[in-house]
Amino acid sequence: MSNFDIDFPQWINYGNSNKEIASQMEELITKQWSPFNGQKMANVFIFCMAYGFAKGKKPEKPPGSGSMPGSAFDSEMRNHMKCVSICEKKDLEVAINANETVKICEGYAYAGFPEVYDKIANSDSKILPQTRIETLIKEISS
Amino acid sequence: MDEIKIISVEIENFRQYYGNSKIDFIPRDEGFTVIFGYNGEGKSNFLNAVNWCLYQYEPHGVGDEVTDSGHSENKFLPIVNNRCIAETKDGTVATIKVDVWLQKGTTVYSITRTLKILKHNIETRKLASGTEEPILIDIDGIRIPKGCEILESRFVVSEKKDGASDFQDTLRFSEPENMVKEILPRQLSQYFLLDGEFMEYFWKSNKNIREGIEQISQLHLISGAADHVERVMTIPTKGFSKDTNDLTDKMRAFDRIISSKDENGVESFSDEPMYKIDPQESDSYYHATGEPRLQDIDDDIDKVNNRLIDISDEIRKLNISGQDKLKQDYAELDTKCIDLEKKYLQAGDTFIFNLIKYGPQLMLTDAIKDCIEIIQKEIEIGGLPVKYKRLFADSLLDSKTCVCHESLEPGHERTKHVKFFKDGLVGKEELDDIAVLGDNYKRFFIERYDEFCSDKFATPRKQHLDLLKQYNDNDQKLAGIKTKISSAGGQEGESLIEEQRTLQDEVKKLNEWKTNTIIEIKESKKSRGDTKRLLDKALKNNSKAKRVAHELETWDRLRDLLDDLLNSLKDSVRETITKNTWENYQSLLANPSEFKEFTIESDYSVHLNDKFGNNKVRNLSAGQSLLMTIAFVAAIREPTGYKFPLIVDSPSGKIDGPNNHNIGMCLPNFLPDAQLALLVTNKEYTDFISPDPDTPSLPITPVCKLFDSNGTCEHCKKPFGNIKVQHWKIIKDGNEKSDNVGNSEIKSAKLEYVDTDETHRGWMVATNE
Repeated sequence: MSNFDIDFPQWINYGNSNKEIASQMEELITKQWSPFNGQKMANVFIFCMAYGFAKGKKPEKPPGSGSMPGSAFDSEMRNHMKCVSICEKKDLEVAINANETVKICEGYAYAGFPEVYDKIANSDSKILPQTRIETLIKEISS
Repeated sequence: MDEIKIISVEIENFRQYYGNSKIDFIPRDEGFTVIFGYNGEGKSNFLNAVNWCLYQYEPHGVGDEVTDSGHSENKFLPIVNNRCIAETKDGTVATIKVDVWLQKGTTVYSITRTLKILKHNIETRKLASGTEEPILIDIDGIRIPKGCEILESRFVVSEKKDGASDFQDTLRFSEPENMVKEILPRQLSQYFLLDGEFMEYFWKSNKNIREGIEQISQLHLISGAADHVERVMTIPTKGFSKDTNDLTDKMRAFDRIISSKDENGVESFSDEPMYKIDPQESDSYYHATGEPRLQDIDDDIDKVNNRLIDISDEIRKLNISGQDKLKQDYAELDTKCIDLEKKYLQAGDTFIFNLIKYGPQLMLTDAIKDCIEIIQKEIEIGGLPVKYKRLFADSLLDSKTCVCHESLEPGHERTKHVKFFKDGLVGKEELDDIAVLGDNYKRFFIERYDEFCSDKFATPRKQHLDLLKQYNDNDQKLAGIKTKISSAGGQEGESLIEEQRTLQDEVKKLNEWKTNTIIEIKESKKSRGDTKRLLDKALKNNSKAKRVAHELETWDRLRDLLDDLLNSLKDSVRETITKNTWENYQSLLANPSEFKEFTIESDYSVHLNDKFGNNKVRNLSAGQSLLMTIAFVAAIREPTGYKFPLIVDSPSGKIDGPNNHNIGMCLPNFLPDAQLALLVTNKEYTDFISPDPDTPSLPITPVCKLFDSNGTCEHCKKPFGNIKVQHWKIIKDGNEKSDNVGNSEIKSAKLEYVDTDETHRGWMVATNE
């Protein structure tokens, strides 16, 4: 286990103390229309972080303190987080500082969340969950 | 707990058993007890009789089941034997009795349930054939002829201690139900008195697995204690301040939602009736809220899904004259649709999984490219790898020569610079991991971008859409055939198709309810936790409530300890049972390599994966399900402490030749400490095992001979059972001229070889008379 993993915060903040965000997050992981139905909040977080960063959103510090367990973030997710922090700071050293990296990513995830939620939740009810999420990805990558 | 043995079972005038039949059981160290009977002769009602005696409950064929031969079993059968009631004079009493003798340690128990029925004028109805049959009515769940009344229902448990001469001077329990509960509680009886139907459908419901594990290993006692501490002890009494009173009320309100109870602690129900297979069954209603409601919904989803499977079978068996092709098409398309539905859902899950797992990586493509560039630059300027920079500094210090060829003497300014450079590298080693990460991103993602997109997104999307299209096409064809069957199959066909449609909608509705209930429970628990934290804080700040706050803290800790204990025990019991079930199952299966992995998850969902990783647990054949249930029951017997005998009805009723051979070879060595009684048909016991085209070397030796032969089987290289079997035979009188026609009795029997002619050659169970 690397120092990055040892220092990785026990709790990650997605903005749980913003009641609206908390209830929307709950919807995303429990509603059948959501592609994240049955998934971990960490998956939603990483998706929103990538979306927020790729769309050039202005990072926003989420209110309150961490509520998602750090252990829910696997090594692949942590690598994506390192990548975002390096690009943000244009400096490699930020990627060995777990707290700094997480702080940057929390900002992008919080900034990306409302648009991700809006586009997934407010799609036509006939649209399949997979199509909803694929549309978001295509919006960035095509 | 002491070992329990069944000594005997005596049945009198119960269902098709006329008069008195008594069978004795032999202990396991002496062998097996086998009760032999052809289909429809009363094997399952023997198991019903034992259950009725112990729990006044009949698990098999209560009501309307139809046997393979097409005859309904108990629907037209009152609990009292027909001949007995016919012979009883009006105004006199008929007696139904089942007496089970058990031995627990050195104490013998006699458990007797008796029903006395007073006969008046029996009301009959005329059938189309001209014969008359009694009209049956249900009184308190007991089906008797109309015109009779239940005079007395008696349940007596007596014990005879070691050394006592008889039951004369023994204790009669004032609450015999409690005594039986101690011997074997009803909810556990299904794991010991194994009904073939129960075993066949066992794996279709997680409830069976959860109950089997939790009840049997007594985990429910700890969860009950933890729940009590949580709901009762961690909530303070009121009377400290208005704030704390309000918060206490709020917590109790959340608890009421979670446990579906009203303010008086009474269970609260909605007005939505639960699903029932038998329309005659009285209505029961879903709990209003919380965990009990979730449980009800889960149970109903299982029930409705099982009924849907049955409906498909019934449609296949429909008697549509001249419409064989239609039925064949229906059977093929229905199976295909079920298969395709599973496949497209699975493909959809894979696609969504990939979108969630790899979608962020795709969206970060530009960021990843930038990142690789930054790393590359760092490498180019010699900033990476840190490991090499360190080696370089070490080599300079070791050689005491600087890169400019000047010497590096200790204490010299140049030497200090090199050491400073080396110290500056401490903690930066992880940058090398970043270099590796960059390299991996480059080699496995950027350079293979198209392949990545195709593997992770395009191919799964295509597979999912193709399967969805195939499913929709088939479903449409199936709908067309259903319409044809619906008209060709007459009223029966129409109502089956209609029921199928209604139930499919019902499952969708139940799944939506389930999701809503899960959210409601989550929200209530979260709000309860928030309220509890506020309450704890308010109590601590209230000088009058300091002692209570301290007590609550202690109870909170105890609750946490109980939760931890429960979780660790649950995990360890579950893991043991998983391991043992898997081992047992592999030993029982003729082809153990068919499945690769078996797991019981913490939510008691079961995975039995084949070599392709597909979970087959809900698609087991009847035979596979039977074998796996036997394996599970054997596994849960260990940690239970309940050493009750196993009575197994039709252990290999629907098993193919190779598995029938295997079960015949394995059962004698299976559960060596458990008293075992088997209720078997000729097909599974005395008939030669059916040849199997895939296993040409399979011997056709019947199971009865696999049990009692010596030596080793040349086919599977396992030793034969070499055990003694005590036989009993159920005899149903088929002679239409006899007064006893249609009635059964059980007689002591033996195994005999018959060799009359070409067509009558083989083993049979014959009575000793």
